Amino acid sequence: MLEKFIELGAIGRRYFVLNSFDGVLTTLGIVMGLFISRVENPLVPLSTGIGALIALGISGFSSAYLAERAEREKGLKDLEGKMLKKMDGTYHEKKIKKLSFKISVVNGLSPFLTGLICILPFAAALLELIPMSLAYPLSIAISLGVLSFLGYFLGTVSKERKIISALKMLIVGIATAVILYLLGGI
Amino acid sequence: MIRKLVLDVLKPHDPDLAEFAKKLSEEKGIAGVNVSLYEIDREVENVKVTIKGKMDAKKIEEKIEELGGSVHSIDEASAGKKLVEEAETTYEREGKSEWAK
Repeated sequence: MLEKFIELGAIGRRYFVLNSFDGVLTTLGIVMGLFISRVENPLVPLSTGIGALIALGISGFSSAYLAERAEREKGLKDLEGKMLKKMDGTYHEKKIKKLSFKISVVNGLSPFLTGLICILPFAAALLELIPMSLAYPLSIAISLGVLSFLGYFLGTVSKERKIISALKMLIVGIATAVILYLLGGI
Repeated sequence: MIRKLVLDVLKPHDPDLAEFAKKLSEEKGIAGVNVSLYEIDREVENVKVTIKGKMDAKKIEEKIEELGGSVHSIDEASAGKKLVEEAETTYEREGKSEWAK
């Protein structure tokens, strides 16, 4: 049970992948929707994307903090029962606070940052570095690339075949894009 | 000033013995610390903590509490200018020789 207390590593990694996945798919959804609607103003994907990502970040940070604190407080209460004393102000209580905060930061920042990478082409389009007709496919390609990277990263964690793991994530991304495109067609 | 303390401590598994000993040794005046395990439960463990140096027993107890442990008893304490180890009494010597037979 005490293992729950330790290791930012495993939990942090899990949250990083889980929330980055959310961030990328959310932006992919927005970008696909705008692409189907033939929106030509780069400010639209940028502002809707950043808006959604800020909301995802705040939701990720606060939900992880509350959930982690609650779970770990429960562990601490169990430990208090075993030790027959209060654990206020101890090494354990401080560790819980620190870890919960670190995990929440990972949880909040990961969807924001990975999602932001995916909408970067629209910033380039806004600065007139690339045309909008290129920004859409580039953004979708970056999203699929980030998803593959997340799969590859998971593969290194589980020590399985990294390419297969990356391909699985890529398929999820492509499937999402295709479903959205088909729905847009309807 | 206390020169040596032997304590019976109940502590959670985390921090582990090495971390526990290291954190205790960081206290002011401590020359050395030994923590040895003698009973282990699912979530807690009993350890014998031996500390040498020039220390304040109260401070040591506070540090152990801060690390999540609780001092069950003080099993040995030495104080003064010189460190005095426990001496063997005649009774103990005879007891041992009887046992040896």
